[in-house]
Amino acid sequence: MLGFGGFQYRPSAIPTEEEGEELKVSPTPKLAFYLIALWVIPLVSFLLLRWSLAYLVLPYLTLLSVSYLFFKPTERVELQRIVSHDRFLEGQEVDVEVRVKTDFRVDYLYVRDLVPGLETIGKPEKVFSLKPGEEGVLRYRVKIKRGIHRFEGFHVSYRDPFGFFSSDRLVDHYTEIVGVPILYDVQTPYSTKGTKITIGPLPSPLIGGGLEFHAIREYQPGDPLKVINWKATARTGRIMVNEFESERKVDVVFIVDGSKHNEPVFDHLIRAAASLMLNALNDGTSFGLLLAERIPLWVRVDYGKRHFFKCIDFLSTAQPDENNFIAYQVDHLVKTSLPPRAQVVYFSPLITEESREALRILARYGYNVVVISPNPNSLYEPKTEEERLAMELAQLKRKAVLRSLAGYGVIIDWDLKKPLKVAIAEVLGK
Amino acid sequence: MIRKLLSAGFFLLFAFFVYVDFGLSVETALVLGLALLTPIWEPAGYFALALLGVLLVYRSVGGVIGILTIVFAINYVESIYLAKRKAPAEHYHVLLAGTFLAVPVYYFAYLLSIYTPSFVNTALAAIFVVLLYVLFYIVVRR
Repeated sequence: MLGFGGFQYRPSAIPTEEEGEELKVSPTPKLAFYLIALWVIPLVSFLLLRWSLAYLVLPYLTLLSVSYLFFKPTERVELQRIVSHDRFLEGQEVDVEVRVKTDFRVDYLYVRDLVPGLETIGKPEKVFSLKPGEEGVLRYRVKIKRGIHRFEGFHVSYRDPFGFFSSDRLVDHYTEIVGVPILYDVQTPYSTKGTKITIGPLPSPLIGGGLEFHAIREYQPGDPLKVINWKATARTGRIMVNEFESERKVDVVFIVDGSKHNEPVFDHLIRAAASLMLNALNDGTSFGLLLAERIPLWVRVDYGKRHFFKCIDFLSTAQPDENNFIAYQVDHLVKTSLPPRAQVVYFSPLITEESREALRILARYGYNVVVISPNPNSLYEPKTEEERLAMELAQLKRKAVLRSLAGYGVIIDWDLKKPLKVAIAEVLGK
Repeated sequence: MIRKLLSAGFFLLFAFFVYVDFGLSVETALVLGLALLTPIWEPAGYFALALLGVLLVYRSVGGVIGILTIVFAINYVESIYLAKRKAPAEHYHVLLAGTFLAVPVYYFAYLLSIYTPSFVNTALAAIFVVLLYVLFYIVVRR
Protein backbone atom coordinates (compact mmCIF):
# COMPACT_ATOMS: atom_id res chain seq x y z
CA MET A 1 0.00 0.00 0.00
CA LEU A 2 1.34 3.41 -0.88
CA GLY A 3 1.38 6.17 1.64
CA PHE A 4 2.12 9.83 1.66
CA GLY A 5 4.23 10.90 -1.31
CA GLY A 6 4.33 7.42 -2.77
CA PHE A 7 6.46 5.98 0.01
CA GLN A 8 5.89 2.45 1.12
CA TYR A 9 4.59 2.00 4.65
CA ARG A 10 4.49 -1.05 6.81
CA PRO A 11 1.32 -1.87 8.74
CA SER A 12 1.69 -1.87 12.48
CA ALA A 13 0.46 -5.35 13.10
CA ILE A 14 2.44 -6.99 15.83
CA PRO A 15 0.47 -9.71 17.56
CA THR A 16 0.80 -9.69 21.29
CA GLU A 17 -0.03 -12.65 23.42
CA GLU A 18 -0.72 -12.64 27.06
CA GLU A 19 1.72 -14.57 29.14
CA GLY A 20 0.54 -17.31 31.44
CA GLU A 21 0.69 -15.10 34.49
CA GLU A 22 -1.51 -15.38 37.56
CA LEU A 23 -4.77 -13.56 37.01
CA LYS A 24 -6.25 -11.41 39.71
CA VAL A 25 -9.98 -11.80 40.00
CA SER A 26 -11.98 -9.16 41.75
CA PRO A 27 -15.67 -8.74 42.55
CA THR A 28 -17.35 -5.89 40.70
CA PRO A 29 -19.50 -3.15 42.25
CA LYS A 30 -22.43 -4.90 40.66
CA LEU A 31 -21.82 -7.96 42.83
CA ALA A 32 -22.03 -5.73 45.92
CA PHE A 33 -25.55 -4.62 44.92
CA TYR A 34 -26.50 -8.20 44.16
CA LEU A 35 -25.26 -9.36 47.57
CA ILE A 36 -27.17 -6.59 49.32
CA ALA A 37 -30.38 -7.73 47.61
CA LEU A 38 -29.57 -11.32 48.60
CA TRP A 39 -28.56 -10.81 52.23
CA VAL A 40 -31.60 -8.71 53.00
CA ILE A 41 -33.74 -11.89 52.81
CA PRO A 42 -31.97 -14.05 55.48
CA LEU A 43 -31.47 -10.99 57.70
CA VAL A 44 -35.14 -9.97 57.63
CA SER A 45 -36.20 -13.61 57.96
CA PHE A 46 -34.25 -13.96 61.17
CA LEU A 47 -35.25 -10.54 62.48
CA LEU A 48 -38.97 -11.26 61.96
CA LEU A 49 -38.57 -14.86 63.21
CA ARG A 50 -39.66 -16.20 59.84
CA TRP A 51 -36.40 -17.99 59.24
CA SER A 52 -38.09 -20.68 57.16
CA LEU A 53 -38.43 -18.06 54.38
CA ALA A 54 -34.65 -17.88 54.06
CA TYR A 55 -35.03 -20.26 51.13
CA LEU A 56 -36.16 -17.25 49.05
CA VAL A 57 -32.45 -16.63 48.44
CA LEU A 58 -32.35 -19.76 46.29
CA PRO A 59 -32.71 -17.98 42.90
CA TYR A 60 -29.89 -15.61 43.84
CA LEU A 61 -27.76 -18.48 44.99
CA THR A 62 -28.25 -20.66 41.94
CA LEU A 63 -27.60 -17.81 39.50
CA LEU A 64 -24.43 -16.78 41.34
CA SER A 65 -23.21 -20.40 41.41
CA VAL A 66 -23.81 -20.84 37.67
CA SER A 67 -22.13 -17.52 36.93
CA TYR A 68 -19.18 -18.50 39.12
CA LEU A 69 -18.81 -21.80 37.29
CA PHE A 70 -18.75 -20.03 33.93
CA PHE A 71 -15.96 -17.71 34.96
CA LYS A 72 -12.56 -19.18 34.05
CA PRO A 73 -10.23 -16.44 32.89
CA THR A 74 -7.15 -18.61 32.65
CA GLU A 75 -6.60 -18.98 28.94
CA ARG A 76 -4.81 -16.92 26.29
CA VAL A 77 -6.10 -13.91 24.44
CA GLU A 78 -4.42 -12.70 21.26
CA LEU A 79 -4.74 -9.02 20.38
CA GLN A 80 -3.66 -7.22 17.26
CA ARG A 81 -4.05 -3.59 16.24
CA ILE A 82 -3.98 -2.78 12.55
CA VAL A 83 -3.52 0.68 11.09
CA SER A 84 -3.01 0.93 7.33
CA HIS A 85 -0.07 3.39 7.38
CA ASP A 86 2.18 4.96 9.94
CA ARG A 87 2.00 8.51 8.59
CA PHE A 88 -1.18 10.50 8.12
CA LEU A 89 -2.00 14.09 7.36
CA GLU A 90 -3.28 15.99 10.37
CA GLY A 91 -7.07 16.23 10.43
CA GLN A 92 -7.40 12.96 8.56
CA GLU A 93 -9.72 10.30 9.95
CA VAL A 94 -7.93 7.01 10.32
CA ASP A 95 -9.45 3.56 10.62
CA VAL A 96 -8.13 1.50 13.50
CA GLU A 97 -8.93 -2.17 13.65
CA VAL A 98 -8.39 -4.32 16.71
CA ARG A 99 -8.58 -8.07 16.28
CA VAL A 100 -9.24 -10.27 19.26
CA LYS A 101 -8.81 -14.00 19.21
CA THR A 102 -9.05 -16.57 21.97
CA ASP A 103 -8.43 -20.29 22.09
CA PHE A 104 -11.24 -20.83 24.57
CA ARG A 105 -14.86 -19.90 24.86
CA VAL A 106 -15.33 -16.46 26.34
CA ASP A 107 -18.72 -14.99 27.15
CA TYR A 108 -17.71 -11.51 28.14
CA LEU A 109 -14.41 -10.02 27.09
CA TYR A 110 -14.23 -6.26 27.33
CA VAL A 111 -11.44 -4.70 25.28
CA ARG A 112 -10.60 -1.00 25.36
CA ASP A 113 -7.87 0.40 23.18
CA LEU A 114 -5.70 2.93 25.00
CA VAL A 115 -5.94 5.85 22.58
CA PRO A 116 -3.26 8.50 23.12
CA GLY A 117 -5.21 11.76 23.43
CA LEU A 118 -6.80 11.72 20.00
CA GLU A 119 -10.40 12.46 19.18
CA THR A 120 -12.17 9.19 18.48
CA ILE A 121 -15.12 8.59 16.19
CA GLY A 122 -16.89 5.54 17.54
CA LYS A 123 -15.98 3.99 20.86
CA PRO A 124 -12.52 2.41 21.11
CA GLU A 125 -14.03 -0.33 23.26
CA LYS A 126 -16.20 -3.36 22.75
CA VAL A 127 -17.51 -6.39 24.55
CA PHE A 128 -16.81 -9.66 22.78
CA SER A 129 -18.39 -13.04 23.12
CA LEU A 130 -16.19 -15.53 21.29
CA LYS A 131 -16.01 -19.22 20.55
CA PRO A 132 -12.64 -21.02 20.56
CA GLY A 133 -10.60 -19.79 17.57
CA GLU A 134 -13.20 -17.20 16.59
CA GLU A 135 -11.92 -13.74 15.83
CA GLY A 136 -13.68 -10.60 17.02
CA VAL A 137 -13.06 -7.20 15.48
CA LEU A 138 -13.31 -3.76 17.05
CA ARG A 139 -13.33 -0.87 14.60
CA TYR A 140 -13.17 2.81 15.33
CA ARG A 141 -11.69 5.93 13.83
CA VAL A 142 -9.33 8.54 15.20
CA LYS A 143 -8.86 12.09 14.05
CA ILE A 144 -5.15 12.66 13.63
CA LYS A 145 -3.36 15.63 15.13
CA ARG A 146 0.16 16.66 14.18
CA GLY A 147 2.83 14.81 16.14
CA ILE A 148 3.75 11.32 17.20
CA HIS A 149 0.91 9.31 18.67
CA ARG A 150 1.79 6.20 20.60
CA PHE A 151 -0.82 3.53 21.19
CA GLU A 152 0.63 1.70 24.17
CA GLY A 153 -1.75 -1.20 24.60
CA PHE A 154 -5.17 -2.44 25.60
CA HIS A 155 -7.20 -2.62 28.73
CA VAL A 156 -8.70 -6.09 28.78
CA SER A 157 -11.33 -7.10 31.23
CA TYR A 158 -12.73 -10.58 31.33
CA ARG A 159 -16.07 -10.90 33.08
CA ASP A 160 -18.65 -13.53 33.74
CA PRO A 161 -21.87 -13.09 31.71
CA PHE A 162 -23.53 -11.02 34.43
CA GLY A 163 -20.56 -8.90 35.41
CA PHE A 164 -20.22 -10.20 38.97
CA PHE A 165 -16.49 -10.91 38.75
CA SER A 166 -13.82 -9.38 36.63
CA SER A 167 -10.22 -9.96 35.78
CA ASP A 168 -8.55 -6.79 34.51
CA ARG A 169 -5.17 -6.37 32.92
CA LEU A 170 -3.20 -4.11 30.63
CA VAL A 171 -1.82 -5.79 27.53
CA ASP A 172 1.16 -4.09 25.91
CA HIS A 173 0.87 -3.56 22.18
CA TYR A 174 2.72 -0.69 20.59
CA THR A 175 1.68 1.19 17.48
CA GLU A 176 3.08 4.53 16.47
CA ILE A 177 1.30 6.94 14.16
CA VAL A 178 2.86 10.15 12.93
CA GLY A 179 0.52 13.01 12.11
CA VAL A 180 2.24 15.04 9.42
CA PRO A 181 1.30 18.70 8.88
CA ILE A 182 -1.25 19.72 6.27
CA LEU A 183 0.38 20.98 3.10
CA TYR A 184 -0.94 24.18 1.57
CA ASP A 185 -0.72 25.10 -2.06
CA VAL A 186 1.85 27.93 -2.09
CA GLN A 187 3.93 29.91 -4.51
CA THR A 188 7.65 30.37 -4.06
CA PRO A 189 8.15 33.59 -2.06
CA TYR A 190 11.81 33.99 -3.07
CA SER A 191 13.96 33.82 -6.16
CA THR A 192 15.34 30.34 -6.71
CA LYS A 193 18.08 31.68 -8.98
CA GLY A 194 21.39 32.25 -7.34
CA THR A 195 24.96 31.18 -7.11
CA LYS A 196 26.68 29.03 -4.61
CA ILE A 197 30.37 28.62 -4.07
CA THR A 198 31.56 25.09 -3.76
CA ILE A 199 34.66 23.04 -3.80
CA GLY A 200 34.69 19.56 -5.25
CA PRO A 201 31.58 17.64 -6.23
CA LEU A 202 28.32 19.55 -5.95
CA PRO A 203 25.27 17.62 -4.76
CA SER A 204 22.72 18.33 -7.42
CA PRO A 205 19.54 16.80 -8.79
CA LEU A 206 20.66 17.81 -12.28
CA ILE A 207 23.03 15.85 -14.48
CA GLY A 208 26.17 17.57 -15.71
CA GLY A 209 28.86 19.86 -14.39
CA GLY A 210 27.53 23.39 -14.57
CA LEU A 211 30.40 24.70 -12.46
CA GLU A 212 32.23 27.90 -13.31
CA PHE A 213 35.65 28.89 -12.01
CA HIS A 214 35.25 31.38 -9.17
CA ALA A 215 38.57 31.95 -7.36
CA ILE A 216 41.76 30.41 -6.04
CA ARG A 217 42.26 29.91 -2.35
CA GLU A 218 44.56 28.07 -0.02
CA TYR A 219 44.11 24.34 0.46
CA GLN A 220 42.13 23.29 3.49
CA PRO A 221 42.05 19.81 4.96
CA GLY A 222 39.24 17.81 3.34
CA ASP A 223 39.55 19.43 -0.09
CA PRO A 224 39.79 16.80 -2.87
CA LEU A 225 43.20 16.46 -4.54
CA LYS A 226 41.86 16.94 -8.06
CA VAL A 227 40.94 20.59 -7.36
CA ILE A 228 44.55 21.56 -6.49
CA ASN A 229 45.79 24.26 -8.80
CA TRP A 230 49.39 23.11 -9.37
CA LYS A 231 50.49 26.21 -11.22
CA ALA A 232 49.32 28.52 -8.45
CA THR A 233 50.88 26.18 -5.90
CA ALA A 234 54.26 26.38 -7.66
CA ARG A 235 53.99 30.12 -7.96
CA THR A 236 53.06 30.85 -4.38
CA GLY A 237 54.82 28.02 -2.59
CA ARG A 238 51.61 27.10 -0.78
CA ILE A 239 49.04 24.50 -1.84
CA MET A 240 46.27 26.34 -3.65
CA VAL A 241 42.95 25.03 -4.87
CA ASN A 242 40.37 26.17 -7.39
CA GLU A 243 37.01 27.31 -6.08
CA PHE A 244 33.94 26.94 -8.25
CA GLU A 245 30.66 28.68 -8.50
CA SER A 246 27.41 27.05 -9.52
CA GLU A 247 24.89 29.10 -11.42
CA ARG A 248 22.14 26.91 -10.31
CA LYS A 249 19.41 27.18 -7.78
CA VAL A 250 20.02 28.72 -4.45
CA ASP A 251 20.19 26.78 -1.19
CA VAL A 252 17.13 27.39 0.93
CA VAL A 253 17.25 27.17 4.70
CA PHE A 254 14.05 27.01 6.69
CA ILE A 255 14.25 28.29 10.24
CA VAL A 256 11.28 27.56 12.50
CA ASP A 257 10.94 29.50 15.74
CA GLY A 258 9.93 26.89 18.33
CA SER A 259 9.40 29.24 21.23
CA LYS A 260 6.57 28.50 23.67
CA HIS A 261 5.23 32.00 23.06
CA ASN A 262 4.30 30.87 19.56
CA GLU A 263 2.00 28.12 20.80
CA PRO A 264 -1.27 29.58 19.42
CA VAL A 265 0.15 29.75 15.88
CA PHE A 266 2.63 26.91 16.08
CA ASP A 267 0.64 24.50 13.93
CA HIS A 268 0.36 27.21 11.27
CA LEU A 269 4.11 27.78 11.41
CA ILE A 270 4.76 24.10 10.89
CA ARG A 271 2.21 23.81 8.07
CA ALA A 272 3.74 26.80 6.30
CA ALA A 273 7.26 25.36 6.69
CA ALA A 274 6.15 21.95 5.39
CA SER A 275 4.31 23.53 2.45
CA LEU A 276 7.28 25.64 1.41
CA MET A 277 9.52 22.63 1.83
CA LEU A 278 7.35 20.67 -0.59
CA ASN A 279 7.50 23.67 -2.90
CA ALA A 280 11.31 23.59 -2.71
CA LEU A 281 11.30 19.85 -3.39
CA ASN A 282 9.13 20.35 -6.47
CA ASP A 283 11.42 23.19 -7.64
CA GLY A 284 14.44 20.93 -7.30
CA THR A 285 16.00 23.29 -4.79
CA SER A 286 18.29 22.04 -2.04
CA PHE A 287 17.06 22.88 1.42
CA GLY A 288 17.95 22.58 5.07
CA LEU A 289 16.02 23.01 8.29
CA LEU A 290 16.71 24.57 11.65
CA LEU A 291 14.07 23.70 14.20
CA ALA A 292 14.85 26.21 16.93
CA GLU A 293 13.52 24.35 19.94
CA ARG A 294 15.23 24.37 23.35
CA ILE A 295 17.65 21.84 21.91
CA PRO A 296 18.01 23.04 18.31
CA LEU A 297 17.73 20.58 15.51
CA TRP A 298 19.72 21.24 12.36
CA VAL A 299 19.16 19.21 9.19
CA ARG A 300 21.87 20.13 6.73
CA VAL A 301 21.12 21.24 3.19
CA ASP A 302 20.37 18.40 0.83
CA TYR A 303 18.10 17.36 -2.02
CA GLY A 304 15.44 14.83 -2.67
CA LYS A 305 12.40 13.04 -1.36
CA ARG A 306 14.23 11.11 1.31
CA HIS A 307 15.59 14.35 2.70
CA PHE A 308 12.15 15.94 2.45
CA PHE A 309 10.54 13.14 4.48
CA LYS A 310 13.29 13.36 7.05
CA CYS A 311 12.55 17.07 7.50
CA ILE A 312 8.79 16.44 7.52
CA ASP A 313 9.22 13.86 10.29
CA PHE A 314 11.04 16.43 12.40
CA LEU A 315 8.38 19.05 11.67
CA SER A 316 5.65 16.56 12.56
CA THR A 317 7.06 15.96 16.00
CA ALA A 318 8.02 19.56 16.75
CA GLN A 319 6.54 21.05 19.89
CA PRO A 320 6.91 24.60 21.18
CA ASP A 321 9.01 24.74 24.32
CA GLU A 322 10.95 27.07 26.58
CA ASN A 323 13.37 28.39 24.01
CA ASN A 324 14.72 31.88 24.52
CA PHE A 325 17.94 31.31 22.62
CA ILE A 326 16.90 31.47 18.99
CA ALA A 327 19.13 34.50 18.32
CA TYR A 328 22.11 32.63 19.77
CA GLN A 329 21.20 29.48 17.83
CA VAL A 330 20.88 31.39 14.55
CA ASP A 331 24.15 33.23 15.22
CA HIS A 332 25.90 29.93 15.88
CA LEU A 333 24.39 28.37 12.75
CA VAL A 334 25.46 31.28 10.59
CA LYS A 335 29.03 30.97 11.85
CA THR A 336 29.28 27.21 11.52
CA SER A 337 26.87 25.56 9.10
CA LEU A 338 24.69 27.93 7.12
CA PRO A 339 25.72 27.88 3.44
CA PRO A 340 26.90 31.27 2.13
CA ARG A 341 24.42 33.17 -0.03
CA ALA A 342 21.62 30.84 1.07
CA GLN A 343 18.04 31.98 0.92
CA VAL A 344 16.59 31.90 4.42
CA VAL A 345 12.90 31.41 5.03
CA TYR A 346 12.19 32.27 8.63
CA PHE A 347 8.94 31.13 10.24
CA SER A 348 8.12 33.17 13.29
CA PRO A 349 5.29 35.41 14.51
CA LEU A 350 8.10 37.75 15.71
CA ILE A 351 6.48 38.28 19.08
CA THR A 352 9.64 37.87 21.16
CA GLU A 353 12.67 40.15 21.10
CA GLU A 354 14.86 37.06 20.64
CA SER A 355 13.05 36.08 17.44
CA ARG A 356 13.40 39.62 16.09
CA GLU A 357 17.11 39.64 16.99
CA ALA A 358 17.54 36.40 15.03
CA LEU A 359 16.16 38.15 11.95
CA ARG A 360 18.54 41.07 12.44
CA ILE A 361 21.50 38.65 12.74
CA LEU A 362 20.57 36.92 9.48
CA ALA A 363 20.28 40.25 7.69
CA ARG A 364 23.56 41.46 9.21
CA TYR A 365 25.38 38.50 7.70
CA GLY A 366 23.94 39.34 4.31
CA TYR A 367 21.38 36.59 3.92
CA ASN A 368 18.23 37.15 1.92
CA VAL A 369 15.45 36.48 4.39
CA VAL A 370 11.78 35.94 3.79
CA VAL A 371 9.79 35.89 7.00
CA ILE A 372 6.51 34.02 7.13
CA SER A 373 4.92 35.57 10.17
CA PRO A 374 1.50 34.22 11.18
CA ASN A 375 -0.39 36.95 12.92
CA PRO A 376 -1.56 35.63 16.33
CA ASN A 377 -4.07 38.48 16.60
CA SER A 378 -5.98 37.13 13.61
CA LEU A 379 -6.93 34.04 15.64
CA TYR A 380 -9.13 35.99 18.02
CA GLU A 381 -12.52 37.40 17.27
CA PRO A 382 -13.38 40.35 19.51
CA LYS A 383 -16.80 40.00 21.14
CA THR A 384 -17.20 43.35 22.87
CA GLU A 385 -16.34 46.91 21.98
CA GLU A 386 -13.52 46.90 24.56
CA GLU A 387 -12.05 43.75 23.07
CA ARG A 388 -12.25 45.24 19.60
CA LEU A 389 -10.36 48.33 20.75
CA ALA A 390 -7.77 46.17 22.51
CA MET A 391 -7.33 44.11 19.35
CA GLU A 392 -6.86 47.23 17.28
CA LEU A 393 -4.18 48.43 19.68
CA ALA A 394 -2.44 45.05 19.57
CA GLN A 395 -2.63 45.10 15.79
CA LEU A 396 -1.13 48.60 15.64
CA LYS A 397 1.69 47.51 17.90
CA ARG A 398 2.38 44.53 15.68
CA LYS A 399 2.35 46.69 12.56
CA ALA A 400 4.88 49.04 14.18
CA VAL A 401 7.14 46.11 15.09
CA LEU A 402 6.96 44.64 11.60
CA ARG A 403 7.63 48.04 10.04
CA SER A 404 10.75 48.44 12.17
CA LEU A 405 11.96 45.07 10.87
CA ALA A 406 11.09 45.69 7.23
CA GLY A 407 14.68 46.56 6.36
CA TYR A 408 15.94 43.13 7.39
CA GLY A 409 13.92 41.03 5.00
CA VAL A 410 10.64 40.48 3.22
CA ILE A 411 8.04 40.03 5.93
CA ILE A 412 4.83 38.25 5.03
CA ASP A 413 2.32 39.18 7.70
CA TRP A 414 -0.02 36.22 7.42
CA ASP A 415 -3.62 36.84 8.46
CA LEU A 416 -4.59 33.31 9.45
CA LYS A 417 -8.12 33.77 8.13
CA LYS A 418 -6.63 33.86 4.64
CA PRO A 419 -4.77 31.10 2.80
CA LEU A 420 -0.97 31.34 2.89
CA LYS A 421 -0.90 31.62 -0.89
CA VAL A 422 -2.98 34.81 -0.73
CA ALA A 423 -0.78 36.27 2.05
CA ILE A 424 2.34 35.67 -0.03
CA ALA A 425 0.74 37.10 -3.17
CA GLU A 426 -0.36 40.23 -1.29
CA VAL A 427 3.21 40.98 -0.24
CA LEU A 428 5.02 39.92 -3.37
CA GLY A 429 2.37 41.40 -5.65
CA LYS A 430 2.14 38.32 -7.84
CA MET B 1 -35.09 -4.98 19.80
CA ILE B 2 -35.62 -8.65 20.69
CA ARG B 3 -33.59 -8.10 23.86
CA LYS B 4 -35.78 -5.16 24.85
CA LEU B 5 -38.92 -7.18 24.16
CA LEU B 6 -37.53 -9.97 26.30
CA SER B 7 -36.88 -7.51 29.14
CA ALA B 8 -40.43 -6.19 28.76
CA GLY B 9 -41.74 -9.78 28.88
CA PHE B 10 -39.81 -10.48 32.06
CA PHE B 11 -41.16 -7.29 33.56
CA LEU B 12 -44.76 -8.27 32.77
CA LEU B 13 -44.29 -11.68 34.39
CA PHE B 14 -42.54 -10.05 37.38
CA ALA B 15 -45.38 -7.52 37.67
CA PHE B 16 -47.97 -10.32 37.48
CA PHE B 17 -46.35 -12.24 40.32
CA VAL B 18 -45.94 -9.10 42.43
CA TYR B 19 -49.67 -8.46 41.87
CA VAL B 20 -50.44 -12.04 42.90
CA ASP B 21 -48.32 -11.58 46.03
CA PHE B 22 -49.48 -8.14 47.19
CA GLY B 23 -52.54 -7.26 45.09
CA LEU B 24 -53.16 -3.63 44.19
CA SER B 25 -51.25 -2.02 47.02
CA VAL B 26 -48.58 0.50 47.90
CA GLU B 27 -46.04 -2.36 48.09
CA THR B 28 -46.73 -3.33 44.48
CA ALA B 29 -46.43 0.25 43.31
CA LEU B 30 -43.17 0.77 45.22
CA VAL B 31 -41.49 -2.40 43.95
CA LEU B 32 -42.60 -1.97 40.33
CA GLY B 33 -41.89 1.76 40.37
CA LEU B 34 -38.32 1.15 41.52
CA ALA B 35 -37.93 -1.70 39.03
CA LEU B 36 -39.05 0.57 36.19
CA LEU B 37 -36.09 2.85 36.92
CA THR B 38 -33.62 0.05 36.13
CA PRO B 39 -33.11 0.91 32.44
CA ILE B 40 -32.10 4.44 33.49
CA TRP B 41 -30.18 3.57 36.66
CA GLU B 42 -29.10 -0.03 37.14
CA PRO B 43 -28.74 -0.01 40.98
CA ALA B 44 -32.48 0.81 41.18
CA GLY B 45 -33.13 -2.76 40.05
CA TYR B 46 -31.17 -4.16 42.98
CA PHE B 47 -32.93 -1.83 45.40
CA ALA B 48 -36.22 -3.13 43.97
CA LEU B 49 -34.99 -6.69 44.52
CA ALA B 50 -33.98 -5.91 48.10
CA LEU B 51 -37.36 -4.25 48.78
CA LEU B 52 -39.14 -7.21 47.22
CA GLY B 53 -37.20 -9.61 49.49
CA VAL B 54 -38.12 -7.59 52.60
CA LEU B 55 -41.81 -7.40 51.61
CA LEU B 56 -42.04 -11.10 50.73
CA VAL B 57 -40.67 -12.05 54.15
CA TYR B 58 -42.76 -9.38 55.92
CA ARG B 59 -45.95 -10.58 54.22
CA SER B 60 -44.90 -14.22 54.63
CA VAL B 61 -45.19 -14.87 50.92
CA GLY B 62 -43.16 -17.97 50.31
CA GLY B 63 -43.51 -21.21 48.45
CA VAL B 64 -43.07 -21.58 44.75
CA ILE B 65 -44.94 -18.29 44.16
CA GLY B 66 -42.40 -16.38 46.22
CA ILE B 67 -39.52 -18.15 44.48
CA LEU B 68 -40.98 -17.42 41.02
CA THR B 69 -41.53 -13.76 41.95
CA ILE B 70 -37.85 -13.45 42.77
CA VAL B 71 -36.86 -15.49 39.70
CA PHE B 72 -38.70 -13.13 37.36
CA ALA B 73 -37.48 -10.07 39.25
CA ILE B 74 -33.88 -11.21 38.83
CA ASN B 75 -34.53 -12.13 35.21
CA TYR B 76 -35.91 -8.66 34.56
CA VAL B 77 -33.03 -6.79 36.24
CA GLU B 78 -30.33 -8.94 34.66
CA SER B 79 -31.97 -8.87 31.22
CA ILE B 80 -31.73 -5.07 31.30
CA TYR B 81 -28.01 -5.45 32.04
CA LEU B 82 -27.61 -7.96 29.20
CA ALA B 83 -29.66 -5.91 26.74
CA LYS B 84 -27.52 -2.82 27.37
CA ARG B 85 -24.42 -4.81 26.51
CA LYS B 86 -26.01 -6.56 23.54
CA ALA B 87 -25.26 -9.91 25.07
CA PRO B 88 -25.56 -13.07 22.95
CA ALA B 89 -28.41 -15.55 23.35
CA GLU B 90 -26.18 -17.89 25.39
CA HIS B 91 -26.08 -15.38 28.23
CA TYR B 92 -29.86 -15.38 28.37
CA HIS B 93 -29.80 -19.18 28.47
CA VAL B 94 -27.39 -19.04 31.41
CA LEU B 95 -29.63 -16.51 33.12
CA LEU B 96 -32.74 -18.65 32.70
CA ALA B 97 -30.96 -21.84 33.72
CA GLY B 98 -29.33 -20.14 36.72
CA THR B 99 -32.52 -18.66 38.11
CA PHE B 100 -34.98 -21.46 37.31
CA LEU B 101 -32.60 -23.95 38.87
CA ALA B 102 -33.92 -22.55 42.16
CA VAL B 103 -37.35 -24.21 41.55
CA PRO B 104 -36.16 -27.85 41.54
CA VAL B 105 -33.77 -27.06 44.40
CA TYR B 106 -36.70 -25.62 46.33
CA TYR B 107 -38.84 -28.72 45.69
CA PHE B 108 -35.94 -30.92 46.70
CA ALA B 109 -35.63 -29.05 50.00
CA TYR B 110 -39.41 -29.14 50.38
CA LEU B 111 -39.50 -32.92 49.93
CA LEU B 112 -36.62 -33.25 52.32
CA SER B 113 -38.50 -31.26 54.96
CA ILE B 114 -41.62 -33.51 54.65
CA TYR B 115 -39.67 -36.66 55.37
CA THR B 116 -37.44 -35.34 58.12
CA PRO B 117 -38.29 -34.27 61.69
CA SER B 118 -38.65 -30.53 62.40
CA PHE B 119 -35.47 -30.42 64.49
CA VAL B 120 -33.51 -31.67 61.49
CA ASN B 121 -35.18 -28.96 59.39
CA THR B 122 -33.91 -26.31 61.82
CA ALA B 123 -30.45 -27.82 61.71
CA LEU B 124 -30.63 -27.91 57.89
CA ALA B 125 -31.66 -24.23 57.79
CA ALA B 126 -28.77 -23.31 60.10
CA ILE B 127 -26.31 -25.31 58.00
CA PHE B 128 -27.77 -23.70 54.89
CA VAL B 129 -27.11 -20.21 56.25
CA VAL B 130 -23.57 -21.13 57.32
CA LEU B 131 -22.92 -22.62 53.87
CA LEU B 132 -24.29 -19.47 52.32
CA TYR B 133 -21.86 -17.38 54.32
CA VAL B 134 -18.92 -19.67 53.49
CA LEU B 135 -19.77 -19.57 49.79
CA PHE B 136 -19.76 -15.78 49.68
CA TYR B 137 -16.61 -15.63 51.71
CA ILE B 138 -14.89 -17.83 49.14
CA VAL B 139 -16.40 -15.98 46.18
CA VAL B 140 -15.42 -12.54 47.41
CA ARG B 141 -11.94 -13.55 48.60
CA ARG B 142 -11.16 -15.51 45.43
